[in-house]
Amino acid sequence: MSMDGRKHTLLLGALMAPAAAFFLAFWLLPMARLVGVGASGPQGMGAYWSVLTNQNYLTSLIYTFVLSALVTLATLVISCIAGLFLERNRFPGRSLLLAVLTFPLAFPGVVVGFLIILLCGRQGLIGDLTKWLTGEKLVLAYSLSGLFLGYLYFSIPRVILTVMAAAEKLDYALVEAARTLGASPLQIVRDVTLPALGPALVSSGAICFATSVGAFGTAFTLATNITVLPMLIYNEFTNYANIPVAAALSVVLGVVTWAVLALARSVAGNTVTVAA
Amino acid sequence: MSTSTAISILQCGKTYPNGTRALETVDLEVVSGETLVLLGPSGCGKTSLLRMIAGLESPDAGGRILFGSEDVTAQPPETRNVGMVFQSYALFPNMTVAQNVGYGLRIRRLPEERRRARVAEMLEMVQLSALSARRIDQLSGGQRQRVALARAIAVTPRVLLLDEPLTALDAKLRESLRVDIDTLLRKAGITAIYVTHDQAEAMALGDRIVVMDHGEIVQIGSPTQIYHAPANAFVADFVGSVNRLQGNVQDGVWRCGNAALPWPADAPVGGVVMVRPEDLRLGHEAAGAISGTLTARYFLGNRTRLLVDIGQGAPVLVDTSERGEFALASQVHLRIDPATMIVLPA
Repeated sequence: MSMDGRKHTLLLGALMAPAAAFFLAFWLLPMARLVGVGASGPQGMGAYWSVLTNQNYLTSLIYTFVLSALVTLATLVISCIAGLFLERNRFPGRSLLLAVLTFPLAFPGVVVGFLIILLCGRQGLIGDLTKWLTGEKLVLAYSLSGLFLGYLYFSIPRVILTVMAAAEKLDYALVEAARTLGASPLQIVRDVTLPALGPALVSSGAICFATSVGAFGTAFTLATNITVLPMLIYNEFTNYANIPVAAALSVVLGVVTWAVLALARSVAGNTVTVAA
Repeated sequence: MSTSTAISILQCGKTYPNGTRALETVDLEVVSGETLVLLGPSGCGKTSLLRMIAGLESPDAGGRILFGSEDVTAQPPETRNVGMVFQSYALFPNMTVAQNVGYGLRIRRLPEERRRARVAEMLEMVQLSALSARRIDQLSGGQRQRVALARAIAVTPRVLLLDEPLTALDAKLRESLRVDIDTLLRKAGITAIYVTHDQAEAMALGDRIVVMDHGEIVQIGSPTQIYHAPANAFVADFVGSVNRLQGNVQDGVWRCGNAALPWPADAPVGGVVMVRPEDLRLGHEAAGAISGTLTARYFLGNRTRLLVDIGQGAPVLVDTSERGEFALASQVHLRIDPATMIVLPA
């Protein structure tokens, strides 16, 4: 028996070895190196401090996280309503609409940025429309609003799909039970639907946030007036060869995003008991 | 606390958008305070009827539903003030036991103090006071169903609707909960409509039973009426077991084997004779009895079920509480009390 147990452990170890080696070689070592590089500049560990005190860096950090938070919030509201609607209603063209909605998933960030420029750039559709309506050309593409729209564009499909999967599992008898107990549609959303979708919303929201914080392609195409974090890292790295700061910024970006994900996960675990 | 209401279902039918006819046009009166059981096989329309009363489905045009004298046909479930218990319990997983029971009261904006008192009263009624702070996933199936009952009754509904509430539970628990529910309904004096496909449940709980088949009401009656005087062969078969006996009628006497029984004056011409297994008595002599060979026996504890081949194709079922050898292949003589003979149109 114990012989068997030992064999079993050995076998398990052998099977885990490739994964462990991969984790070590491509996660742990580079991460340690990145943290080390961040502290290797003339300031040493001070590079990390400067990232949080330097006005430019700090502004960029705040912009990035606020933008991502707003995108996440808007994405959740839009996707939640759309996802529930799509899950609950059957109409002609529904599957086609679903296929079209998931289309942006395939686009690289650059293409998303390009689409936003086509829509609300200087020669864009919205620009022409507003000029015709008000005589003033509205150009959103290169500002925070442009980034917001671009990020929204690639975030919505993912969250809609997650919401639909969660809504499919929602026991409709719960909604009916609430109705017979006198609950209005809004009260049902508050007391039944949202708590049931809660974990899915938190986890897809967290992923949406992380993706927005790290988005590069879209930012690269659009962010001419503002600098979001991935752009900042890119610039420090390629244009100024300021490798320690680039590394320190990367670490901060990673840590904050990871912290948000972790927080979301623990909140999602608790909503079930705390709600109502 | 009782606010029980009589319910009238007038000319209600249900056709689904895809053309399925779930319920033929029916009329039904539910007496205030009674427990009415809708009994039938799956797909007979009993659940559609119940959901119509709840307001979760609307009847086809022309159908009307009255609570007392109030026409509620156009009212959504939110305003009908019904209590509903679902087969799947449908308890809110994000709320505790007490929060579930108090949900309807919270929606009605009952002051905290009174809400708390009512919830405590309800939990005591279903003997779950000790579990009020539990989460739903920490409860057993039977406990969940009791919470669902307490939640439905807490709002003092005008009618309590129960949709196969015990189907998901095991046999033993089903029986004990059946008694609990019966006691509770009597005590509350509430009008209750109970849907089930289980005839034993229907018998135990119903003041009256409505037997349904293929979207139609086949018979309405007390449990004894349904059992002893079924309206047709479907009801006789569906409610308990029954034997069909082939015989000849001559000069007002029905003969089968050596048995000769008076043919009831009001019996339909060419009627089929049916006898319940427990109404067949074991005799000692062939004279005046239907004789056959014992082909199988099943000891069921409180009775023994015998299968007797009397040469009419399907074996005759006999339930006896006698203790005996019941040797296989032995000759058995069956006697029928004329009063227990059920004669139905062929």
